[in-house]
Amino acid sequence: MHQRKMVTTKAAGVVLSAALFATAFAACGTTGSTSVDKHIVIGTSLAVSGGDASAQLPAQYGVNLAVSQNQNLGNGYTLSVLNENYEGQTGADPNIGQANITQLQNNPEVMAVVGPFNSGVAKLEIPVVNKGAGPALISPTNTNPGLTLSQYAQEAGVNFAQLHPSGKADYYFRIPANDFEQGKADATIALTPATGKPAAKTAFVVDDNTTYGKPLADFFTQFFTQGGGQTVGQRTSITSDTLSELPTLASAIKASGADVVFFGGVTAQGGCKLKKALVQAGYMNPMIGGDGIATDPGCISDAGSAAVGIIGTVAAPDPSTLTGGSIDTLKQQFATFTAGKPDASFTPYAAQSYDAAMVAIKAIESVISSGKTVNRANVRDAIAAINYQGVTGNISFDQNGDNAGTKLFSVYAVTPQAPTTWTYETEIKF
Amino acid sequence: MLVLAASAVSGVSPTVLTQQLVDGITLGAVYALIALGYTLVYGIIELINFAHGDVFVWGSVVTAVLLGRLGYNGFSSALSGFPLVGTMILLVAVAMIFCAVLNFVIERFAYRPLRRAPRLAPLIAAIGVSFILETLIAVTFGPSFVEYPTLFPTGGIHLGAITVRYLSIFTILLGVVLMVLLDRLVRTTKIGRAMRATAQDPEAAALMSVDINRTISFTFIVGGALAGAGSVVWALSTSGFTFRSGYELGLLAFTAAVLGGIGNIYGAAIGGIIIGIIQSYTVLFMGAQWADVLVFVVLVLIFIFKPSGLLGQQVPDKV
Repeated sequence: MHQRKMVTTKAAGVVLSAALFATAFAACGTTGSTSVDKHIVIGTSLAVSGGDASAQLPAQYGVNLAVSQNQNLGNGYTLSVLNENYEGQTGADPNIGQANITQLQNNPEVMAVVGPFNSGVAKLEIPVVNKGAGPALISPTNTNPGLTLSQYAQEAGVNFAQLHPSGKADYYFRIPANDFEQGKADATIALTPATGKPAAKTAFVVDDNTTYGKPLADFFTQFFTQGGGQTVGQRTSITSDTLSELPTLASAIKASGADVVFFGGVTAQGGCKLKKALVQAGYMNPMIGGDGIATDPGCISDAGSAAVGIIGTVAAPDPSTLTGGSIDTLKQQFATFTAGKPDASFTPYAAQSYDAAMVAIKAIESVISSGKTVNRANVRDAIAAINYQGVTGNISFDQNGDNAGTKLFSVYAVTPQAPTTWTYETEIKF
Repeated sequence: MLVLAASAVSGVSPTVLTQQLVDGITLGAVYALIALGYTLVYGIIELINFAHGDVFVWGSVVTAVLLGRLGYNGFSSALSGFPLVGTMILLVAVAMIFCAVLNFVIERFAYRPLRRAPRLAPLIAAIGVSFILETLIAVTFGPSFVEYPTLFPTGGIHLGAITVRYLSIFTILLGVVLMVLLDRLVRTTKIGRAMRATAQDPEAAALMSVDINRTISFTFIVGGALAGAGSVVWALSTSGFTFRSGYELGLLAFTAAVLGGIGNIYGAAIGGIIIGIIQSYTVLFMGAQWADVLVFVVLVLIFIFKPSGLLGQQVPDKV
C-alpha cells in the first residue's frame, strides 16, 4: 500500500513537471512576440474587498469605465484593464500591494497603473516602479506629502532616497493635494465657526497609527495651534484591535472638555466607531477627519445614529460642483457601467480615478500618434508633459510628480437633516 | 484614598480618575467573565483553551444576527424600561446557551479524542479551533466591522460629577451575579464537588464513581455560558467587532487568568478587573496604543515577584 502510494506520487510529479515545462515554453512564446504586440494594458492597484471596498471599488469602476470607453487607441493598438487587489486580512496590505505592482511590472503589456489608493502602500510600490523603470504609477488619492517632497519625508515616515533613487527617471505621479495641505484645511474647518459648530479653541487629537493617519494628525495639530487653537488630553492611537478601549477613551475625551475631536485615519481602523462611543459617553461635539473617512458610507454605518457631527475633507472636487456637459455625461455613464454592482457610488475619488486613467490613456495615445515606440519610458515622458482638462479640473504635473493645479479640498458633513449620508458643504482652496 | 493620592501626583482631577476607574471596572468585568472560562478549563484538564476568546465573539455574532432579525441596527433608537430589560434577558440567555453548546461541541470533538495524547496535541487543536471560528466569521461577515446596535440609552446615574453609565451598571451587576452563582455552584452542589475532585485527581475521582467525561463537559458548558453573557455586554459597549476581536480579547483574558493565578476562579475575576483598570488608566495617561503593552509589563512583574499569580497558592479553592 505504502509502496503504491509512492509510485502514484512520483507519476503525478512527472506529469506536473511536464505541464510546468510546457507552460514555461508557452510563456516564452508570448514574451518573444511583444515587439509586434499592439495590445496595451492599464493596471489598477487598489484594495477592493473587505472594509476598504466601499471607498475603493468606486475608484476601480472609474478606471474601468475610462478603459472601456477607449478600447481602440488608433493605429491598431487596443487597450484593456487588469485589476489587482491588495486587501489583506486586516485591511490594505502594503506587502500585497508590492507583490501586485511587481506582477504588473512583469507583464510587458502594462504601460501605466492607476493606484495605489493608500499612501502606506505607495511607500512600497514606488521603489518598485522607480528601480525597474516603470510602469508609470498614477495615484488618484495618495495624500502623504513625503511621497514626493523630501522636506516632509521624515515626518511622514518615508525613506525618500529609497523611493526616488538618484539618477533614475521618476515614474510616480499623483492627482490630489497632500496631507500637509489637508491638515491645514481641517484646522481651518475646526477654527472657523459654521452652522451648529462654534469656532473650536481646543481639540483632542486621535490617529490610527498608520503612515497616513499619524502625519495628518500632526499637520492638523501644527496648523490648529498656529491658528490659536490648543490641543488637550493625551494624543492617542486607535486600531481595529483596540475596540474594547473605545468607551474609556470616550470618557477621557469627554473629561478633556475639547471643543472638537480630530481623527487622522481610515474607517477600517475604527475612527467612526469612536464617534459612536463618544455619543454613548454623552460627548456631542463634532469629530473632524480627513479623506480616510469622509464620503465613506462605511463610516456612517459604523457610527450609526451617532454619525451626525462628523465632518471630513476630500482632496478632490465634489461632483456636484463640476459643471458642464462632460461631467453629467460621465455620471450617466458611470451609473450605467456600475448598474447592479456593489459599492457603486460616484464618489469624488471615483471621478479622480477616471481622470487618472484618462491621463494615462491620453499619454499613450500621444506616444502612438507621434510615431515613437510605445514603451514605458516614452509613456512616462508623455505623462510628465501632459496638460489634460479632466472632469475634476486641469491636470499637469510639476517636477516632483505632484499635480501643478490648485490645491482643493471638498468639505463633507453628516447633518441632522440627512443623518445617513454625506452632505457636501463647501470647498477650501489654497 | 488611592484615587486622591493619584490625583495629587498626576494633577488630574479626582473626578476624572474615578470616572476612568468605573470604566476600567466595567471593562474588567467583561475580561473576568472570559478569564473564568480559561481558568475553569485549565483547572480541570490543564489545557489552555486558545479558542475561548473566539467562542466569546461567537456569542456576539449570534446575538448580532438575532438583533438584525428583530429589526435593530446602528440607527435604532435606544430602548428603556421593560423592552430594554426583556431584550437584555433574551440576548444574554441566547448567547449563554449558544456559547455553552459551542464549547461543549468543541470539547467533545476536538479535545476529548486527544485527552490521552501528549500535552501539546490538544493545545495545537485549540489553536486550530480558534482559526476555524475566526475564519467562519471572516467568510460570513467579511473582514470589516460587524455592526452591533447600542440599545442602552446614553447617560447614566450621576454620582456627583461622575456618570456611571446604564450599560456599566448592567455589566457589573451581571458579572457579580454570575460570579456569585459560579462560586455557589462549585462550592455547594454535587457537580461542583465532582469538578473539584476531578481537578485534584481525575483517577481517584473516577474510582469514587465520578463521571469524568460528564464533569469535563459540564465545565466547558459553564465556561461557555459565562463567555456568552460577557459577549453581549461587550458588543453593546463597542457597538461592533471584527473577526479578529476574539484573538485580542482571548489574549487579554488569558493574561487576566494568569495574573490572578491560573486555575483559581477568584484569581481570574480579580485579574480581569485589574487588567481593565490598567487599560483604562493607560488610555488616560499614555494613549490607547500603550494599553496592551502596560498589561503585559504588569504580567511580567507579577511573574518575577509571584510566579504563581496573585492567588495562585490557594490550592483548595482550585476548581
